[in-house]
Amino acid sequence: MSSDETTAPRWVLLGSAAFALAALIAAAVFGIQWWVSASDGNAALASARDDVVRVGGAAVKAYTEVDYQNMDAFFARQQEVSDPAMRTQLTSLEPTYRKALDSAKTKVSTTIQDIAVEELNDHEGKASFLAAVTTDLTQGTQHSTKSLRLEVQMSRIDENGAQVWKLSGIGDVPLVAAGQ
Amino acid sequence: MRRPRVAGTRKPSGDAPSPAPRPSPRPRPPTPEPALEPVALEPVALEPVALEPAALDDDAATSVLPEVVKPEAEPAPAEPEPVVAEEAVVPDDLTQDIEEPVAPKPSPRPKLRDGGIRKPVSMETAEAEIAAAPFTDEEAANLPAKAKPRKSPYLLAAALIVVGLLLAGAAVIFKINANQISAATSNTALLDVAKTSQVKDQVSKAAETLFSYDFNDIAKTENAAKDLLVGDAVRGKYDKLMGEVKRLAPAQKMVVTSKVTRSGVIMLNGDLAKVMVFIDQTSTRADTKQSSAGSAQLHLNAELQNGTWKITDMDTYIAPTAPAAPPSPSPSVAPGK
Repeated sequence: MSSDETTAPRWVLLGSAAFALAALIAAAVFGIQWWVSASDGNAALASARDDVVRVGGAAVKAYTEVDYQNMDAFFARQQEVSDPAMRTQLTSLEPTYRKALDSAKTKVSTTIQDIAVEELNDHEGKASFLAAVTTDLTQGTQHSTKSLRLEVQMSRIDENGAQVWKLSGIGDVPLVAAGQ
Repeated sequence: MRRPRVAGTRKPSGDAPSPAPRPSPRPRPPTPEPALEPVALEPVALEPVALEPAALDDDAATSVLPEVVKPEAEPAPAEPEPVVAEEAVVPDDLTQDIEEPVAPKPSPRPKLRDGGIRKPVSMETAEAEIAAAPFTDEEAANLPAKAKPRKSPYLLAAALIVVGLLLAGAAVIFKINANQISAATSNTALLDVAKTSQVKDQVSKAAETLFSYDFNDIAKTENAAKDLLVGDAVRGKYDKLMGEVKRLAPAQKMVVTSKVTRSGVIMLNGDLAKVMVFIDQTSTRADTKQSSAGSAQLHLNAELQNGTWKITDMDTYIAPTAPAAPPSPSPSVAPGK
């Protein structure tokens, strides 16, 4: 009788103990892995670069993708991804854009082909990147595809206590005719 | 150290030797005779289990019991030891006192076993010290109450599983974080400043050479293509982009000049890199002095071979929609626009 009582708990205990031990080992190994990779001096810079790529990509989409039937959302998105200086610029330009986009019945969907970070100053929170973008443009019944070469500036600002990257400048890289 | 001391103290008590059977590991059969010697061992065995004193008195009838207890108790030397140390300090009289009161109890045996079983487990799971600590306390409390010991193993098991689940969750989080960081740092674009600027520089120059064309010096471009392009795939793509120019250039006396206006390293990992370049291209017809310009954006994959970055792939980002588009505008070679 006593043997039945004792063997069952022992089995259960051994099993749970083994599980806990295995989990402890796994946590220790991965914890050390994390610690080692995090103590890499480049980790902060690497994550800043990747943040710029990620946030910048979303910002480019916000700036280039538009649907004339839902322009409130378009301008709201633009405000969302921009730094304060850009926001005031956008607000002043909004009526003009709104009119133009509406009269042309403009619809644009954007594909970001690639983003290459040109400069990154993590210390100052400044970055610039190049974006190769393809846009599908529909104006009324006309449809066209266009490639854009964009150069975008990003700034890191404090927003509600968190450090976030915001778009502070965006423009086409113009064609400079060589040899002339 | 302990044994001799305790043994000496025991001797005077004379009758006490009765528990002799305990030292089962050594000489079991001679229970009553070797009274003195075995006694020396008893205290050591007694203390770790803490409960054993009760068994001592029953020994004569249940000589088998102690044997069972011992082997189980053995795997748990770490915890009991401190207990032994404490008791060792305690005056001999005290230990004797403890034994006597416990003596009357006839039932302690089942308890003993449970206690013995529990300990080894808690030992093995050295991590669960917290869980184990309350246990020893419980044991003491359990002595009078027999029902409790059965429940606690399951409680401990449940606690261990909960701890295990928490640790497993932590492990997953650690692993995800580690992977994120290592994925980010494995791309050393901009992190490895020297190499980043090296690949940017060389690939930009390669692009300018590859996409420039002078009808007077065709060899220059063709040699560059041979030298810089690695693999048939990229050669095929390059020929597609430049085919029209090559075909028209001699007849039109065309000079095509390419300039990389912007470049950025998308990815750099060891000897592999992916570079984005914005190219402006101007073509001039020497015969008519007519010129036109176009711009393009493309990415080039490069591989470091013998200190030089060679081009292994190129793409103008518009291949899928308009494969034949690039060379279409007669003088302008530019893929885009």
